[in-house]
Amino acid sequence: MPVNELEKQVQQRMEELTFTPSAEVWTEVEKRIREKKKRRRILFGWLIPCLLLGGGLLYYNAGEKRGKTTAGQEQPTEKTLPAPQNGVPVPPAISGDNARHNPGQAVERKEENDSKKTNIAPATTISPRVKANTNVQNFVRQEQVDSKKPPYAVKKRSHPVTADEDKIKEPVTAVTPINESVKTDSTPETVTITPARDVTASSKDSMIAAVPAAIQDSSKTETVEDKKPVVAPATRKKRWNYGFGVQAGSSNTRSGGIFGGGMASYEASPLTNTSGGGTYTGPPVYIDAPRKGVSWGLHAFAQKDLSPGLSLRATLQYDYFSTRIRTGNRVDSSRQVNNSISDNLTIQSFYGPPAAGGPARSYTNRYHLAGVSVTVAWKLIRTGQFNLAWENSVGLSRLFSTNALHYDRNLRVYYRDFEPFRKTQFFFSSGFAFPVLNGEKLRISLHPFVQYAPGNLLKENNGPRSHFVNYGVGLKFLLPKRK
Amino acid sequence: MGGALNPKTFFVSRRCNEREWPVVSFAVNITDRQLVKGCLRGKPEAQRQLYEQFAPSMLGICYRYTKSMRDAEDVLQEGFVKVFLHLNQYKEQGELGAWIRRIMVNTALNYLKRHRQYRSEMVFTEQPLHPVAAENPEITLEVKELADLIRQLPPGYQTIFNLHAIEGFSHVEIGAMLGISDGTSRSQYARARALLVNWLEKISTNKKTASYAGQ
Repeated sequence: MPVNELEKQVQQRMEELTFTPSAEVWTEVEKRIREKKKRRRILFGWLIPCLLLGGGLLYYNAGEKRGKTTAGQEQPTEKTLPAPQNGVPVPPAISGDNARHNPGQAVERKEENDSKKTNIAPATTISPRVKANTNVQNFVRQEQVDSKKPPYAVKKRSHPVTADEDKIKEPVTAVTPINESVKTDSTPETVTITPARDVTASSKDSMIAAVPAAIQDSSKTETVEDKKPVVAPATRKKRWNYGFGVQAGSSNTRSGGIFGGGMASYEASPLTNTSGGGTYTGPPVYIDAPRKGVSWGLHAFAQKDLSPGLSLRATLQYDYFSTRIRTGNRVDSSRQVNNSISDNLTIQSFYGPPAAGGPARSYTNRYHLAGVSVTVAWKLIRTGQFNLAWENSVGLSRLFSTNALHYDRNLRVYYRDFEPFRKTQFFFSSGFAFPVLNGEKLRISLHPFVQYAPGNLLKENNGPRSHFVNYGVGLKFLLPKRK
Repeated sequence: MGGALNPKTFFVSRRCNEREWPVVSFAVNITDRQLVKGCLRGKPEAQRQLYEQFAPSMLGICYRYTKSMRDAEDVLQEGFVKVFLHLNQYKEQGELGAWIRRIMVNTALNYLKRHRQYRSEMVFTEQPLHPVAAENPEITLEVKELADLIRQLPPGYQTIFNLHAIEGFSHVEIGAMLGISDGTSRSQYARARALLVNWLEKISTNKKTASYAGQ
């Protein structure tokens, strides 16, 4: 420690050292504190909820992609189709037998070693002389039907025609071009098919659909019917489902953390003589810590299943919280309140404190809030009989009305002042969800929860810190799924 | 000086000449309290008032720790930003000025550690203990001249002299703040003091010589 005269002199002199800072210093200080406060507001007010929403949407998109990838494996793609042969596209095989066969009609069939069935594409004439390089459509020409001849020639079936095969299931819309790879050692097949408009009712019956099958190796015994078109499974579009909910429970304002609590205490009355000695002006008063009160809420929400185990819910809500304190009687008289919470406030009425051991009345501090929240639910148990989900949510609520009282230690009165309250409250909530009813028209689930607001109830940090704590049970009613 | 000069009590008791004027710690100036309240509510006029009330003396503190007025204003600016952003932590257990002063000193130390021009010279090497000079030369300099003389010391000496001789921190506390041993702090302080005494004596001698010459 400095014990010498020199240090003392230096210290005394330096107390007098003052300078006037330049104007830019204050300008910069003011700018920076506004920026930092704005950043804090943005962070807590918007960024965190946006991050949660963004995370949920990203997860949802990832789920969608996974779903598409799984479905896509079954879809026929260009790669699964036979490669174009000599530039001629190969249509996929068509289902069903679109051939119509009239067993009574004499049909000239050219014998072939090929034992495949063929389908007819009516109104199409294909000349075997046409090279496979030519587009299929170039082959399609309308020719007059030779009445003497059957309109077409079909390959001789190697097996008896069944009843199903006789039926034309659907008109042929695709024609498989003749390809050199199909050609066998035998005489190329000639297929002449009557144009549709030239086909009369009777000739329709006599028509046998004979369309060369998809280009295949003659050794293969695969038939057209074996090649069923692969239909991509319809992707179910995930939709939002809507519902409403109610909740009831108990709320309180606690100092400290979620399990902290305000302590009730006695406060001595002022002394008659403040300079020492003197007597108390009255008995000590009991400063009551708030006790829990009833809470309830009404919610409307939209919910979406992001995956079988995860769902997202956005809620619009109204919440009512209350706490109870003990006060003395109400006095309708004006007073000037000036403390760390209220600055020079003139009040027209107040409540006195309850004297220790004296009569007291119960006063309910009521808080009305409206806000929004985002909930993410993880389905922990998904069995047929029992489902359980763990839900966590963040929300922003606005305190739009309250009749809560503050206590002024100077005047020893309880009074109302809305201004010191922090109007925008940020909430965390955690709980579980149990489905109770899983009907067609309505689904009901039970939601026990705990809710906590980390922000101070009052704007003024010099005052006592207190936070909303709310716990209870909610019922959610999910409306029928939209189709 | 009589009595222990503990940084915790430094801002509670103020010494003037040889008489102690204890400041009652709980008697926070009502004006200060209202000022703090207004600042916490974000009232611009309260913030401006608080700044104007304390900025001149705080700039003096920053000036003592730095080598230029520009650096001193930088420290002042950073310090007041911290004051306004952390004002909710002021618990009215001491004077507001003392609380702001503590923030300003810490801001100055951080500034010295961060900026290259100071950081390279803030090297405290273990040196043999230097006996504290017993001389107490009379200070004939003006306030600003004395401050400029202190600022002539090397940055390491300057910092330790400011912290011990003016702010009243013990060498153990200085060691903790600067990351050095208390022995190094003592030795550095002794050397700084010796240098300052030497300069003051020379200045005093020169002034006497000049006055004799003038005669």
